[in-house]
Amino acid sequence: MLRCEQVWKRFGKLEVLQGIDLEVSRGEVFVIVGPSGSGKSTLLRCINHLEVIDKGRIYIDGELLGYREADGVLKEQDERSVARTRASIGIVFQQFNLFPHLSALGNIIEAPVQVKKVPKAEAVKTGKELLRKVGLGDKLDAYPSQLSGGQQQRVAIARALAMQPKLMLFDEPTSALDPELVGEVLDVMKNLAAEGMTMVVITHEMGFAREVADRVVFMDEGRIVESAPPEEFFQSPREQRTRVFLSKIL
Amino acid sequence: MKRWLRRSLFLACVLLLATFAAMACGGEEEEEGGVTPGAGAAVPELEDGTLQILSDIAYAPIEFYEAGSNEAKGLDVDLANALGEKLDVKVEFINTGFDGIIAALQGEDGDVIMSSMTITPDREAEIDFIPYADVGTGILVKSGNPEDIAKLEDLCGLTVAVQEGTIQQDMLDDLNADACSDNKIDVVTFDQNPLAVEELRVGGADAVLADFPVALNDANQSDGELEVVGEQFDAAPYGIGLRKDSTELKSALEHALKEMKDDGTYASILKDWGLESASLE
Amino acid sequence: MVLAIGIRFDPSVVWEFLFNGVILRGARETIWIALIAQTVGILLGMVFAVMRVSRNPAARGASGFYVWFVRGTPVLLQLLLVSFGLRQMIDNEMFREVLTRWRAAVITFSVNEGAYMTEIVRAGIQSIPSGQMDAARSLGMTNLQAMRRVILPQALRVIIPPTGNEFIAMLKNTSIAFAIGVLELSSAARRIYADNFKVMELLVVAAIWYLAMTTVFSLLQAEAEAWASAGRERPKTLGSLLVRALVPGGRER
Repeated sequence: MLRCEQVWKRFGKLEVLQGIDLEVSRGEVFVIVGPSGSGKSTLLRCINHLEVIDKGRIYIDGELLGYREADGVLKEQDERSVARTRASIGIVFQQFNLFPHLSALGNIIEAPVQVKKVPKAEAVKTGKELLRKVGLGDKLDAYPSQLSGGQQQRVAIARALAMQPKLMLFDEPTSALDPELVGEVLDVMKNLAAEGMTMVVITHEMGFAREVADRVVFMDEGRIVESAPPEEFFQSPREQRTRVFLSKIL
Repeated sequence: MKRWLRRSLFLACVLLLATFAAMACGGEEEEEGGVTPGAGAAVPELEDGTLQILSDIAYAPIEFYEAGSNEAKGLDVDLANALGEKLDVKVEFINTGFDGIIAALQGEDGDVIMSSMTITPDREAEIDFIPYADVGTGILVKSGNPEDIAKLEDLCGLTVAVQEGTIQQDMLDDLNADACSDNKIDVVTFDQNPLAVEELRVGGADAVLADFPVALNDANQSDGELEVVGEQFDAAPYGIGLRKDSTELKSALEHALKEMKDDGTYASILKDWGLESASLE
Repeated sequence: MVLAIGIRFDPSVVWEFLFNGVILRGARETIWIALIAQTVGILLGMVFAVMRVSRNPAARGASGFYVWFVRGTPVLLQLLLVSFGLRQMIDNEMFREVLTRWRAAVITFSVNEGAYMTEIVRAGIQSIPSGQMDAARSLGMTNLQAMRRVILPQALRVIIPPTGNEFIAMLKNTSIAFAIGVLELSSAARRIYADNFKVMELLVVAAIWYLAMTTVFSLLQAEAEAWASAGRERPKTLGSLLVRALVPGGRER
């Protein structure tokens, strides 16, 4: 479903990603953990092409992301093709990034109508269902400023789902929330995982990782240090650095 | 609260006093009498012995700045310098917009107006005049006279450019009220005459109305693009404009002008500019 | 020393000329020119602002040049260039017929305003947190779609107040149009007082008209700001109260 091959990314002089190899199969849930500055967010942003990688390749569902291969030569894709690929990848940000000038329902139907040209009535119907699914069926017309953090994030998830993505990325979705609101968001994510969505989640919520993840990945200083199923990862991590990190957060 | 109140009052008093002082100095000086450097005729009212002349210096060949210089030249300038010599005073030209020039004189921005100003009853109601030249109006058109203009009435229905505040503007307004009332002239006014001429040159107007010598000069300077139609008409005297209360200055200038006519300076200056026809002797 | 402070001011003259034909025509020209120029200016501003922040260096350069040139030269000069300069250079009869003085004035003021609006819109765009663009692009929108649907609508809130100021300045700047022979409010007043010497009275007439225009547009600006605060607490403006009072059963947007 998602394959990263030797991905390198530099910001100025700083090598943020140093040879990342990652493979996520359909329906799998990968949780990425690691200290801040380890490149986790950048990796996610490279996966949906918000950032352009310097070296390596990323494949989404077998298709090369961001480039077209023609006669063995890589050519950069035009903006429209990239946008189309991005539409099939959903991402949920730490800061929600809801559109403040649109209602909850408005946020959700915006992309389907504008990008996929779905007729408005149909988009509204789907949107209402999605909102109901995340537990906000009564907040259709509420504006983001009228919603709590947890509610906003759930709308953000619904907004991403409205585009029927093949892959969902989560960049620390609960880090900006008050503790009592974290649970409602995690519940939505758990349901999503149970339904078989392919997910890559950056989080500090180890309980979530233990419960839902198929694999936990530890990143540090731009490299994947360790990658293992949760029981193995948390109980008997192989790398020293992993152990040090775990001891600090658990 | 008290402190800012006291400060503001103090400031207000200072400002008020400063204003009074300025007004007093710039105001009436009949009693005081100005400084006169030379022996010559007593010319009161002049500051620093300089005759300050308000003029719209964009009206060749009567008053203009030669391209690239800051020195005023022209018929009015030469006549003014001659008058200054007779009175033994310095002469200074102050460039002033024509449509506000009378208000400027009344506001004492200068001592007299010498700006190709035709004497009219309306203007005479506001200021006094000393006639010094006789000049009529000319019609300036594109070479070849494409609209076949021969006289004023032919302008009906056309676009005519003119300087704001001139008698030519009045002429056009009169035409629109009368002979052209069914087929009005589109009167386009500009700050200065050269812009009106430019409008004609670029095809935005069909004709320009200006004093005859000026129209002729515009035609001569146009590299053959423009020409003057016919002869000058409605000749009327130019006047040196003075405030109604500048009676002593007026008699001094009249005296000097007479001297210039008597000794031939007047005629010779007119001849220099090819404007003998404007003589008022 | 004689001190005379006589105040010669005749209010009846003000009343006499307040609705004078020449004054009315001048006022109408002023509003008309300002409205068209501001509208076109806003459109130009949006286009060039998007170009200014684009990833395409050619677009950025062109926009930068436009802003630099237009802001760096006086409007009066631009007016003369467009009206006289262009007509002198382009010796084509149809061109000269199409480019009337009035159109030259409107074009100049529009292009001039566009440069200032570019900077205002750009500042507005850049005031929107980058996360908004991220979210929009992540949902599959192209840059242009994201600009139109997400960034610009939000930027409006930041853009409207300085735009209102621009319009009020524009109303007054139109007085320069007289240089190319276009009669507007200030020159109308000037023409009359050059004739009857009631300088103060006519200036008061002009001032009254300018104040009337700017006041009306200030009210409209307040309404526009309220409208742009969609989704947030909408302030009660005089305009919205009027709307509610005058429109029976009408709902506020």
